[in-house]
Amino acid sequence: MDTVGEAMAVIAEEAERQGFQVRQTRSAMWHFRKGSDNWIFAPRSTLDVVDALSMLISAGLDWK
Amino acid sequence: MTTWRAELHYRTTDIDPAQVADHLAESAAVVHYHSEDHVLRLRAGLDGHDLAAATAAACHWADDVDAVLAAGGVTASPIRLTVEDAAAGPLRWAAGAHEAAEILGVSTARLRQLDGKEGFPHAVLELAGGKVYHADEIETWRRTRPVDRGGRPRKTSPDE
Repeated sequence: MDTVGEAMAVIAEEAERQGFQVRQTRSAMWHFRKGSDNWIFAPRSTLDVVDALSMLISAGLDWK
Repeated sequence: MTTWRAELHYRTTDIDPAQVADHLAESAAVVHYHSEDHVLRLRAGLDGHDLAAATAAACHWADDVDAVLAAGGVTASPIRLTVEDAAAGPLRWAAGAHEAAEILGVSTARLRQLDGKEGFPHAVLELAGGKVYHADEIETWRRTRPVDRGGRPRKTSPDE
């Protein structure tokens, strides 16, 4: 797994622990769900990972 | 070359976000769908020398996305396209009581005292959770406010 994939796997694990529903829909595509909100990330760079994380934090993910 | 971020919003009917994301796997790094307000948000990174180039690239991207959605049978009307420097960060214009008090270096109790005083910025929103101020206005007031020594007003002697 590349760095982007590894980072997303860590985020997915923590999000799942905090009650998000997480599914890896393809090898490089991640589906996060909480209530009516659905996010699907296809990150290609570290900037995309940071973007994904900041969106999840805005949605209530506790990341410290 | 600056990296830019484009965000495209569509109003849709009921869609399966995973299916849409599948269609858009090559076009968007982030797909967000809120199943109650039926707004689909797509985000992509773009390269461009300046804002004009990035805006042109974003318009091309929006055309491509339109075509992909139409080919996938997704009914969606574009309602917004924004382009920003990827380093711009989120807009932080709003300040709640906690943030406003922090800007001023006072407690939230003191903020409540200041609120309503002449010259103090009016709240732009009043929610159940409290007032929301414009952070810039609070910052401007902080820089221009009269010196506040705190404590009780001094007694004045009759000959003053």
